[in-house]
Amino acid sequence: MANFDFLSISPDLVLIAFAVLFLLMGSFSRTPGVHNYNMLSISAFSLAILFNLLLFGSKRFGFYDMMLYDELAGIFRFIFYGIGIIVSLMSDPYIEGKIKHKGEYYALIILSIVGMSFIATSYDLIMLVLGVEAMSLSVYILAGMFKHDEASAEASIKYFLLGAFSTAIMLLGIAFVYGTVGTTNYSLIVQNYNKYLHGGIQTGIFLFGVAAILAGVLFKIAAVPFHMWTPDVYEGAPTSVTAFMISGVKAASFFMLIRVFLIALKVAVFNFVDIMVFISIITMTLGNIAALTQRNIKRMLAYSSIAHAGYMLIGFVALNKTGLAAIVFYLIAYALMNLGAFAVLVLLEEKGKDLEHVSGCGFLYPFLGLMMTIFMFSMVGLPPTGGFMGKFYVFKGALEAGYLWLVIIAVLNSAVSAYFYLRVLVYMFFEKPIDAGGALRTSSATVTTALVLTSVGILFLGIFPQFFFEITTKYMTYLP
Amino acid sequence: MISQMNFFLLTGLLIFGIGALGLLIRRNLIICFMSIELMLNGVNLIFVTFSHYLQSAVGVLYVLFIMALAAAEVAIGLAIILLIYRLKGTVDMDSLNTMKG
Repeated sequence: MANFDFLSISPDLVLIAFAVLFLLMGSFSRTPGVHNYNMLSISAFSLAILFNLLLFGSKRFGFYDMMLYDELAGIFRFIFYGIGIIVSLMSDPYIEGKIKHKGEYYALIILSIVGMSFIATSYDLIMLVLGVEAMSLSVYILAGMFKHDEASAEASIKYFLLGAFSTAIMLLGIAFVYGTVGTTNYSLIVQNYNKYLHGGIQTGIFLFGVAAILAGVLFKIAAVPFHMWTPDVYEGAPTSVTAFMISGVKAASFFMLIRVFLIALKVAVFNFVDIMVFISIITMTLGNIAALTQRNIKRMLAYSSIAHAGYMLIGFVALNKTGLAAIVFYLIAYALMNLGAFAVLVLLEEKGKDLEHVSGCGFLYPFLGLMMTIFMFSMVGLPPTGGFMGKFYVFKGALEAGYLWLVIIAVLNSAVSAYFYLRVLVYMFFEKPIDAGGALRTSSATVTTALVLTSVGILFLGIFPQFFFEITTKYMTYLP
Repeated sequence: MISQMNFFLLTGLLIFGIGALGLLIRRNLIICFMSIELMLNGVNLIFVTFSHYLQSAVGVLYVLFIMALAAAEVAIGLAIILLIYRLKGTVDMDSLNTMKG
């Protein structure tokens, strides 16, 4: 019975219980409008974090080697649940009046995070696929949550079609890996590969399968050439959902890349380093250049998220302890700064979505202006912010692996990106407001809390980076 | 002479390819959606073939999981297509042009 290790998934069980409760409350409550789902969802995530804290530090196999809970999976669970708390904080004033059944919204966020957590603990390719689907299916619905908004529906269908396409490709890859090594368990894949595959057509089919899995993962990461959906989906989806996708789904996808390719498929990973170098360069360059011409801030941040994926892939290309630990550090900083920037947008969106609409807002609302300054500085990579230290560690890993020219290209890219990030601040502080202004209708205590949490987190990461970086380095045990 | 296993594998790949091609060139959302189902069924055939020739039951279990996934995707996909139809009055992919840039 030890195989049914329910303790190792106890945080997820708590979350599932809350999600089911939300759905039932929506159906059976006589006063469906009055429940404070917002606070309930935050307490669900806090409870999950507490359970995860009790588990943290142990290494447990469970469910007949379908799952492995190790320290890095624990760290990622903290990241996902933290993202859940911040998204819950910033959602409520934004979806008020636009979504009829708020319980569904929070239940879907929770279920999507359970999917991410399953990705983090997967030790078998079938668990990975189920986690990816649980995460994606919830996000497809969330993207179309504003039922009367054409852009939201379009974002939903585009994400759905291309997401299902990428899942099918990933499944094809898994089928070929299974066909050549005869198993889908992470450790058995490595064993059987060394035992049975010695060159020839079998190895070729195996590598084809690995390439198909890589394509599926790169699609979720939104790396070029699988990025076409990103701008439309991120622009059309409700802003709070975009914040969730841009931070949570991206973090889960990067952990999927690290976990699958450094535990299960580490026998094949060196075959793909060269092409990953190329993908990394083209991803960050294309993301930054396309972002230069955008007027819509959400669309600009969507392209910037493509560029950030490019920077993070440098850490994967380096394939050493510093580079891989740097990805985790970068992901934390990246999630914080995007959540913060979108929390500001949630408040400013009633004025409009383009750059012109935020003009003058910096002095009209000094707090929002200050916050946006911190987040944009972090995105450019200026000290003393987490974005700077993230880039610093990623580049350090690449230098240790001998990729000087790659680092030079990335630094040039960062310089280009300063233009469009700082342009937001120029509009906010140096342009005249287009209307007389006055108080924002949706100023809200919860969004303010989210802003304070994210900005303090970013400054902490920037000023005391050693604290987190030592933790991530210590637990980065996946090495090729 | 093509062996029996390769015949089934190639059939599976062919079905997968037809699905992928259909998704890329057809403009009707329902047809695109059916193409995705076709791709998943191609994968299913490949799994069953490998499972049979490797004498391993894992592949057949995979097929059951993929069928469940496909059913979930049907539920969500058709709901989203219905939403598009209500808003725009058509399920043509070229009508999805609200966002540009």
